[in-house]
Amino acid sequence: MTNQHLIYIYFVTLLLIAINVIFVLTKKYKLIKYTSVLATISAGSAYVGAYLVSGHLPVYDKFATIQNIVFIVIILGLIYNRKAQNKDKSINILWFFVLALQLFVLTQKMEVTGDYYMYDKSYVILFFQLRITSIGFFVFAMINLVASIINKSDFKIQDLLIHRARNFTILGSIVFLLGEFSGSYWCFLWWGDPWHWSKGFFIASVMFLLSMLSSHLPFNLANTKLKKTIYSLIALCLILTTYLLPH
Amino acid sequence: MIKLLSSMRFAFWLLLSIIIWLFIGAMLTIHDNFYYAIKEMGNELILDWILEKSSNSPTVLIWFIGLCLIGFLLAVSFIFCTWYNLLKVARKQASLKSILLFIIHILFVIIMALHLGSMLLGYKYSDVELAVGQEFKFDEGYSIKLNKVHYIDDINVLKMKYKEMRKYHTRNGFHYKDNYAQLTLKQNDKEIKSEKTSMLSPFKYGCLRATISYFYLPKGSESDTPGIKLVIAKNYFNELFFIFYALEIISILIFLLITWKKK
Repeated sequence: MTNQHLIYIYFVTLLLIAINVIFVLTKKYKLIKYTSVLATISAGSAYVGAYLVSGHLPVYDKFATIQNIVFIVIILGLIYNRKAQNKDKSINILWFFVLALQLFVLTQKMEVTGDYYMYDKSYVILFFQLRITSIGFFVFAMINLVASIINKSDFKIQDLLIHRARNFTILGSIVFLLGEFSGSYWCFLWWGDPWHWSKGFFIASVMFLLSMLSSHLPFNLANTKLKKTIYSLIALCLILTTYLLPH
Repeated sequence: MIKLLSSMRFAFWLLLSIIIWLFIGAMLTIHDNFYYAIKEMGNELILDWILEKSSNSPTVLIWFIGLCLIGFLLAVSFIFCTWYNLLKVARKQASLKSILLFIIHILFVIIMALHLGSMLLGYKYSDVELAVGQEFKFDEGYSIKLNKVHYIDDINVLKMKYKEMRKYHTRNGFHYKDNYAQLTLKQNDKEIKSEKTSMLSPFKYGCLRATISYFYLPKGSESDTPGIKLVIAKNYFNELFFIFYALEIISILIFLLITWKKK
């Protein structure tokens, strides 16, 4: 397998996601189920393929990591849409998000990170993988928040979506902290300190603190459900932007 | 006053301020001068940096003072909020959820205090270059000597610049477990410990650690034997930092699990 094969897989996934977006727009909900499974297989192949080509799981190149995030979000979508008893409860809006993410890859260098001698250490790979997973969870939380704004009519479903977003924001923070724990251990063994004054440290702190913002919104600022949802959404958008920024 | 210091509003604005301030810090690193100044901050204890080198970069010093100020206010907010709000709720409700919220905040304060402790106490020397046979003397009468280097990979790679070198530092190109240095630690000329040390496997003696960050070729040396770049640090809080960090993660995880289902 070569990097060229990964590029082919990328376009197949992009096509399947785009088809799903069309199905959502044309309200062909039954067909989404089948293409979702195909998109999951394709995104999963990109994940496995990245490992086969580079010899390690995705680390920091945007080509592999964003597809990794897309894979996580699609799986979560499959799980939660499967549970949904009717189309109102489903979160088909996620296909717009994954399409945007997958398209973002086009702006990046389409090549997986090369080998590095430290990549055989589990804590090094965990540092990267847990951060990617946490971003996947944050994106899923964003999707639920947007779905809750769209789903104004049914308060019960709206509450369910907001609560799910809250759960995935906290879960994302936990996974992010676990990744930072691994990173701290790596830093400790390489640089002699668990943390270092650096851009990486500042960015990581910003991302974690942003994830904490939505649970510390003061009542006078977020006195309605909609305001709270929008502020939480802004914080999550900023986490994603910080992650996607080149650094 | 207590009401303000323990309020969510105060905590929120401080959180937002520290996020913006850290983001400014990240932006500063884009500029080369600031990048090196910020890197220098981590090369030694922050107190030493303030006293000896901070005057070289007033912008970074101002940024750092601002960070300390916001950090201090945030710590005050945390302590007041934990003491006056969360403890009260935990006592009143005595539920696992409220107790966990209290614990999570307490642990966060402890972690911040450990960060502060590690910035102020002990000592740290970075980029200590040692060629074979050389010795580095430091605090408490300690000295560390490089007796021998065993290096099996291509020595020419070490002549390259960092970015170029990285391409060759693959799992097949650089065998970090097989490349090692024989280090000897002495205190007042009395040998205490001698052992083989490789990258990612530091030399340890109590709270003292000597970590190999790189192998390098000493300038002007005709020999093909590399030297090592060491970070020598005495830090009392590292182990505690990891323990409390793990406890914090576990506490948040339990909190999430018990509140996962919406009542």
